[in-house]
Amino acid sequence: MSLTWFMGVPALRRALGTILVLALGAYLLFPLATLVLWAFAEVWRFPNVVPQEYSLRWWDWVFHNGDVGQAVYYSFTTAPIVTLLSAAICLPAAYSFSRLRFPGRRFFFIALLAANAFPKFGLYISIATLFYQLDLMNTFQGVVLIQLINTLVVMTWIPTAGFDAVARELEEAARDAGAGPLRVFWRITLPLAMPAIIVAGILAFLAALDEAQGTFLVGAPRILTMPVLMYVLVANYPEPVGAIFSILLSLPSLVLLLLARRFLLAGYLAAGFRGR
Amino acid sequence: MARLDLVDLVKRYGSLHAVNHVTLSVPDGHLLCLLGPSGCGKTTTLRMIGGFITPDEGDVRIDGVSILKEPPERRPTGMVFQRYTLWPHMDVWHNVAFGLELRHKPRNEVDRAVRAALDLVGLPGVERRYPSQLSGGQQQRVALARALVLEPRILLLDEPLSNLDAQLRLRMRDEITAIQRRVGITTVFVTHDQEEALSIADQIAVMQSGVVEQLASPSELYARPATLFVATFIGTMNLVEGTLQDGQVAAGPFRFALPPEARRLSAGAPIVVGIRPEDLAVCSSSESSGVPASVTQATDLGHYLRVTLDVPGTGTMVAFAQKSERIAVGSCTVCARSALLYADDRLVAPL
Repeated sequence: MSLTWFMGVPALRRALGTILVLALGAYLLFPLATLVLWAFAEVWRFPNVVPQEYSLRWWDWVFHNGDVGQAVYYSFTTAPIVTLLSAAICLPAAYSFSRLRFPGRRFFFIALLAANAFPKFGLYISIATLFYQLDLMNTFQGVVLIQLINTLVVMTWIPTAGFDAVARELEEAARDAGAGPLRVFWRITLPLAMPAIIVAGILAFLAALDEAQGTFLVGAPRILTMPVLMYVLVANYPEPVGAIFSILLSLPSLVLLLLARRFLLAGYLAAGFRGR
Repeated sequence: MARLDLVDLVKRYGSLHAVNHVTLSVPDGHLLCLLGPSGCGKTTTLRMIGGFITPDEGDVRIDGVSILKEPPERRPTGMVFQRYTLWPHMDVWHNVAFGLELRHKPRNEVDRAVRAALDLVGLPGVERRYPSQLSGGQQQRVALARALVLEPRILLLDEPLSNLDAQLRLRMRDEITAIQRRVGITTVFVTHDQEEALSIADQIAVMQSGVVEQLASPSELYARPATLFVATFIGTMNLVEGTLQDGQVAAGPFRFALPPEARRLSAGAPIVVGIRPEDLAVCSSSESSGVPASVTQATDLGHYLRVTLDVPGTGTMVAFAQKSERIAVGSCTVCARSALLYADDRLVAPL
C-alpha cells in the first residue's frame, strides 16, 4: 500500500489540512502568546503553564526609565530621517533605472545588493574604522548613515518596479494634451508610482527602526535606539522587561505593515482592478 | 482647419529604414488611413506627426508651416492610443479637463467644454466615474473626447479599435467616422485592418517596409491596386503568371489583347495577371467560349457563393458567384471579365 493512501480519503485529507494549519498557527502564535504573558507576569515558575501572579509593575518601570525614553526618542528621530534621506537618494535612481538607458544600468541595479552579500557585522566593522577617521563614531549622523545602508535596496528596487508599471502611453497622452516633461512627472508618473513608493518608504522606515547591529557598533554607548537598548535590558533585567519592550518595539511595525497592505491594495485599485 | 503634409520623411533604426522617404498630404477635413502589416512603419509615421519620434530626414507641415521643432506638448495634434489610454488615477472629468486646466481656462468654461465633448462622443454623465469603471469602448470614447476637447488641428488615431471585440469595433468605427465628419477635423488613422480602412477612409496609404506602396481612395485602391503587394493585401486576388507573346498577354490558358501601355515591354517579358474573384465568370461547360476548368468546391457564404476552381495551367483560383447561378462541382468553363496586368510588381494597365 502506498504511503500516501490517506490522501485518497476526503475526511482524512481535510483533517490533515486542519492539523497542518493549526500546527503552523501554533508555531507562529505560541511565542507571541508567551511574550504577552511574560509582559504581565509577576511570578511565573516551573511547572505552571500560566503565571502564578500578574502585575503592571514592570510596565510602570519601563515607562519611567530614563534610558527607555531616550531610546524611543533616538529611534523615532533616526528612522524618519533615514527614510527621507533614503528616498532623496534612491527615488531619482529608481526613476533613472526605470526610464533611462545608460551604460552599466544592469550592473548598478544588481550592485545594490552588494551590501547584503557579505556578513553584515564584518561590513560594519570595516565601516567603523572609516567612521573613526571621519569622527562619525558615537554621533547621530553616524547612526543615520549606518542605518541608511539597509534601506537602499528596497527604496530603489520597489519604486523602480513602480515606475516600470506606468505605461509610456499614459505619459505620452499627457505630453500630447500639453504638459511638459516635468509636469507629466508630477501629475502622471509620480502619482501612479506612489503606492509602490509609499510601500518602499514603510519598509525602509521599519528596516531603520529595527536595525540593531550597526547602530550598536556606531552609536553605543551614547546613542542607543530601542532595539539596541533591548540587548541591555534583556541582559540585565527580569524577563517581563524584555517582553514589554518587545511589544513596544513591534507596535510601530504592526501599524506600518497594516498601512503598507492598504497602500498595496490601493495601488492595484489605481491600476484599474477596481471591482473586478 | 488644417492641411497636413508629410515631406520625404525618413526614420532609421540602425540599418533598418522604419520609414523610408514617405511623402503624403491630407487635405483639410479628410481622413487618411495608414494601412499595412505590423512593422510597416505606419505607427512610426504617426508618432513622428505627434512629435514622439524625431525623423532623421524630411518635414511635417501643418498648413505649410513646419512643426518639426515643436515638442509634442506644443503641437496642435490630438492623439488617441491603442491601449492604456486614460489616466487611471483621475476620474473622467479630470481626464478630459487635464489639457484645458493646463491652459488655465476658467472653471465654468472647462466644465462646459468637458460636458460638450462627452456629449459629442455619446457619453453624457460619466464625469465622476473612474476609467476602471468604464468598458473598453467607453474608455476609447472618453479618450477621443479628451483629444477633441482641446480642438486640435490634426487628430491622430493609433489603432484605437484593435483592443475591442468585433461587434463593438464595427459600431465604434461608424461612430468615430460620424464624429470626425461632424467636427470636420483632419485625421490620420493607423490600422492593420483593411476592412476598417476601406470603410472609413477618404484616402488610404498602404505601407510596407517603410514605403508607401499606394495612396488612393478606397474604391480606386480596390479597383486598381498599384503593386502586387497592394493587390494581395486588399481583398482577394487571383494571380496568374505569364508572358507577352504574339502581341498578346498570355497567362496560363487566359489570353488578353495587349493594351497600348504594355507596348514598351519586350516580348517574352514575365508578367503577372491579377483577376478579382468577382471578375471570374463561371459557366457550364456547354457554353464553350471560356477556359476549361473544374469546380472543386462551392461554399455558400450567405449572399454569394465562394467557388474554388482548378484551372489547368494555373492551378487553384477563386471566384465569387451569385447564388442564382447554381454552380455545381464538376467541369465548367471560366472567363475573366476584367483583369490587371502587372510587370515588375507594378500595375501596367487594366485588361
